[in-house]
Amino acid sequence: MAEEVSSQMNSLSISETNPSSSATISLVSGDDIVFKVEPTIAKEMETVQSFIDETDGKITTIPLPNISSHDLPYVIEYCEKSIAGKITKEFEAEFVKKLNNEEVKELFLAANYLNIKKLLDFLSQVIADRIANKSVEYVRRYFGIENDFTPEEEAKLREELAWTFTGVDPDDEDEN
Amino acid sequence: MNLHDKLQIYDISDKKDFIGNLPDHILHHILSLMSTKDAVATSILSKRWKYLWMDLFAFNFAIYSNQSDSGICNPTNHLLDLVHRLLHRSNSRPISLTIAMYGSGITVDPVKLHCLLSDPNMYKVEELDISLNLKSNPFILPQSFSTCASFNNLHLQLECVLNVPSCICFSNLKTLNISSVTFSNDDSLQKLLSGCVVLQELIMYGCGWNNIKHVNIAMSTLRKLSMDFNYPTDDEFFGSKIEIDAVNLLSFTCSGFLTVEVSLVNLASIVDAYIDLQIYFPLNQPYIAAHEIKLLTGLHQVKSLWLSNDTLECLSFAEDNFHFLPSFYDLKRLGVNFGSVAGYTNAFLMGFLKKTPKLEALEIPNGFDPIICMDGEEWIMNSVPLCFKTCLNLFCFSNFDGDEAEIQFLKFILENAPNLINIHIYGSYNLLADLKKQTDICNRMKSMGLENWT
Repeated sequence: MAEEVSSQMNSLSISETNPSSSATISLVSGDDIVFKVEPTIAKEMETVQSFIDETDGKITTIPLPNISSHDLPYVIEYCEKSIAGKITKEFEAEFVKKLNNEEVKELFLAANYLNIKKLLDFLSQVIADRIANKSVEYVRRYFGIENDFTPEEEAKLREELAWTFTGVDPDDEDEN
Repeated sequence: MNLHDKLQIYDISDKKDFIGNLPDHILHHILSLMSTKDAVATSILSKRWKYLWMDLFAFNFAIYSNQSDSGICNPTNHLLDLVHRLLHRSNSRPISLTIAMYGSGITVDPVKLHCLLSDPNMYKVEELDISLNLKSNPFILPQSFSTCASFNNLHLQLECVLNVPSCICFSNLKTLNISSVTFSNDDSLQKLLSGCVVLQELIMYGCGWNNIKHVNIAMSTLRKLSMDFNYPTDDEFFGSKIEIDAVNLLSFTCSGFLTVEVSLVNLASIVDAYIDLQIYFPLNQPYIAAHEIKLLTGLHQVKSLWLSNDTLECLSFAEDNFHFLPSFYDLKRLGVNFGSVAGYTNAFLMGFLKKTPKLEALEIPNGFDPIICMDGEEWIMNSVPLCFKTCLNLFCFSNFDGDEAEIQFLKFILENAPNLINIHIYGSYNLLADLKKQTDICNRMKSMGLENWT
């Protein structure tokens, strides 16, 4: 598991370090928490890896302003399992059980931003499953989509697509 | 843009608009993981989503309804219209399309269907699977549909009387599954099959043959053929004949009530065949038996054959014709499934084994029925098939109960098949639960020279 270190620096800039002196990569979350990870973990994150490659490995502290210190450990946990070849159905089921809808969405964005293909595919499936058989209103709320149809347009669409609404789950209260 | 900017570029502080900034391809990926029904429903979310789902490649539109008043105003028409719009809009890779509508509340307008199948954009479809009940109305396949070159895999399950146009050619079709269709006449079936010039697999399931007299067809590219015949209707006249010349056929499956005379000719490549016929009421058994003899005759070059109990029992009604059955000189492996109504079956098995001089492996996957214990003795001993004496080297008996007839049969094989190398006997659940019987049978096995069995 990544070591969590409070960052002393307020305004974090990319620090130049000698690659041979530090084998680990520091990932800095949006709220300035530093996570030290093995370089192999960074390889799973294409965005991070290309950043390292483009600076010839000189830069090993990488700011990830879009990812919070709440989400980053999940991402790192998944990547660790992935490089250990231990992504099983059981692990994924346990992993997703811990996450509420909001966290799934945040992790999805993080996976997209870091370009972690496996995690992105997995979370796509989770999202697809969570909106399956749900009402239009539920899915709009889930995705935060604003309805830009006029009431007439929407009514016409609903009539044409009435067959898709058979057997839709009743809306329960959003989980969060 | 420097790297620092690159990392900063996404601003996702507005978490509420989760999906807004994501590119289409990410959303397509999520949509592709959903059922077509759910994916289509996303078109109501907002204008951006209206057509997103139409960029997918595989669509499975299905309406199953048993309510006559489901509150939906003619869903089938709306669905067919939607597929029209989809075909028109889709401009990507070839698509796979499934349309299934079942249920008492579902009525399909044949004109609408005709219109859809004639859609000029049908050329975008590579796989098409349509299951509809057209209430037996005569339905004519549209001309443009019948010459569509894009089809690779076509499944037509249409409850209707089917007519085909004068010119029909599916130039790239590899797999055709045609089910529930009643062919309107010889010509329709003949043209349909002749038009599949590169067909590799043909499946005909539960078709109506009443209007067929005699169809004769050569399908040189065919590798796999499966036919299933429904329970005969009152007006079934048992006179339909279909002759299939399939020089490259590897695998053949036939099941159900053999109301049609199926002649397979020129099967130079046939490897395996699976025959699971069913018995109809006595009046028509001679017809079915005669058809079966004809069918088996066509399969005489097969290497591996599987026969169900009823298939063997049917043969008993062909007593007079049995000698017409040729020898199966290429048959190496025979599987026989004894069902629950085994009567004369064993006698016919022994009769059949005399026609298989090169048999190397005999498999009995379901054991014997206890009823045949009664006449256990007589059927075995008449004479020993040649293959037992010369080449039978594998005998596999599953679901072994240890009943008298089974043991007698085993004994018979052990005594008369000197080349047996492998004998596999798998006990039934009943036997495994009965320790006393197991011990008893173990002893009897040992006395026959068999030490180990499972």
